[in-house]
Amino acid sequence: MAWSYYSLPFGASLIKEDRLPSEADVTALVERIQASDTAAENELVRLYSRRIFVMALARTHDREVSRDLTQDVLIAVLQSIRNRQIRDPGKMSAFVCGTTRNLINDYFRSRAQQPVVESLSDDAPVAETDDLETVLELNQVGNLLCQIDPADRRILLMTLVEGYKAEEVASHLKLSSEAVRQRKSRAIKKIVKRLRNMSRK
Amino acid sequence: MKENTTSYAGAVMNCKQVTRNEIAEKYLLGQLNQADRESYELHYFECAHCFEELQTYQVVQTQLRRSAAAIRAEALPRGTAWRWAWVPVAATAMLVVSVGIWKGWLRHSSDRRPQVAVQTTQQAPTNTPSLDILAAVEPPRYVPIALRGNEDDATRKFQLAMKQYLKGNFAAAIPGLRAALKTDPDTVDARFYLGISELLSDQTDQAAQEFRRTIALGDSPYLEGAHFYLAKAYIRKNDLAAAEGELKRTIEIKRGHGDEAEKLLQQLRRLGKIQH
Repeated sequence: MAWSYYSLPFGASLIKEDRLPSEADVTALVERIQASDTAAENELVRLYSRRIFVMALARTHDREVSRDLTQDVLIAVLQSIRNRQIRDPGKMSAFVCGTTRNLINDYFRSRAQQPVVESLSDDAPVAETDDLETVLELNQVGNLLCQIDPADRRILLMTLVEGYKAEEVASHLKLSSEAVRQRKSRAIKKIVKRLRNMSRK
Repeated sequence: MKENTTSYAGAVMNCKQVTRNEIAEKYLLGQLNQADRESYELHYFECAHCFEELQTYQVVQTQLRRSAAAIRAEALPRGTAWRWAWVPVAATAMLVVSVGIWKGWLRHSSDRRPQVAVQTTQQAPTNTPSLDILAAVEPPRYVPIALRGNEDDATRKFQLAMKQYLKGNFAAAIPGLRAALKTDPDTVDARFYLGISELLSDQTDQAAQEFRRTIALGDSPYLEGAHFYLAKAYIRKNDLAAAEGELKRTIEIKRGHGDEAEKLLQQLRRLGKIQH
């Protein structure tokens, strides 16, 4: 099989609690991949692509790079399985996690060796390369953020983006630290609940 | 591909630790040390619940980053910052009324003329934005310039930091901009955008200082902007006389912020905060 780009299931549902199969099931999956079962390869892609992407995005803050890295990791993992380089198939999650980490580190190392080259931009200041599904996902979250209390929005911004501690936010908004923590927790729970409802529809 | 054994041997976190120590947030903000980061990564690769939580934080963080300027510009409802502010106000009002009644009683007992203690407050016209709104800052646009690989160290550091700025991650841009200025303190663009990043990260005093330094560097493409954003910093600090001075200087220079400065000056005057 030629290594082609995998169709990543990012748009299937917004936030997905995708449970990983048992060690025995993963071992069986590995054996099927080694027997050149394409459906098994797709199943592995479905299982891990989101986790790989989320880690790459958290570390690189670049969606396009994260998509490329996800593809690279999936190819490397499948190649290792096919070449029977996996010592303990039951520990597949740890193997995929380690491979993702290695390739992200490789990416940073190679980038550090290259001169910084920026192209001239005459359009929007943020060069986003999101696909339609990602834009729709983010718009849905944007709508949910609009529905919560403005103070909760500010709390989320200050904690999740600006990196302030609850005590600092509390002092800024003249609330108690506990109130800040509770409001943040409630706002996040509200968003998760609504996202789950959307995913079910 | 060699198999990674570090993650096998590393200590694995549990869900309680993740929640209690706000690990997902710290991870996304890059605040975990390497050992904790790797433990957490291994954990969410195996834990559906914590992975779901992380995905939520990540997508919410991305969207918040995109709408950061609008959220910062929002006036918070009175119930948040001012929930307890009514207590001293009410206490003062009660004191004023009590003193009024007492004085009135004294006068009433002397000349029998009734006295009424009335406290009036000058109200701002309702269609004028609040000071919070007037202090709101939209990040000035930055267009990256093409680098060819033979730039000086300060420029390279500046360009790297501005990548965070372009992503709306202003707090993360600050260390890089400071590093650029350490290499070359006269880098006016780094100085200006450091002030902007600090202003957008609510570090108003530091921001004001950077704008003053930008101005002290003399005529530059950032001179007018530095006066304008220094005015914004002064509004935040409620130093409206100083803000007025900076806005007037912005208007005198007659570049891109002139109209905005004129409008801001009028709105401050309408609020009754500065003299006509």
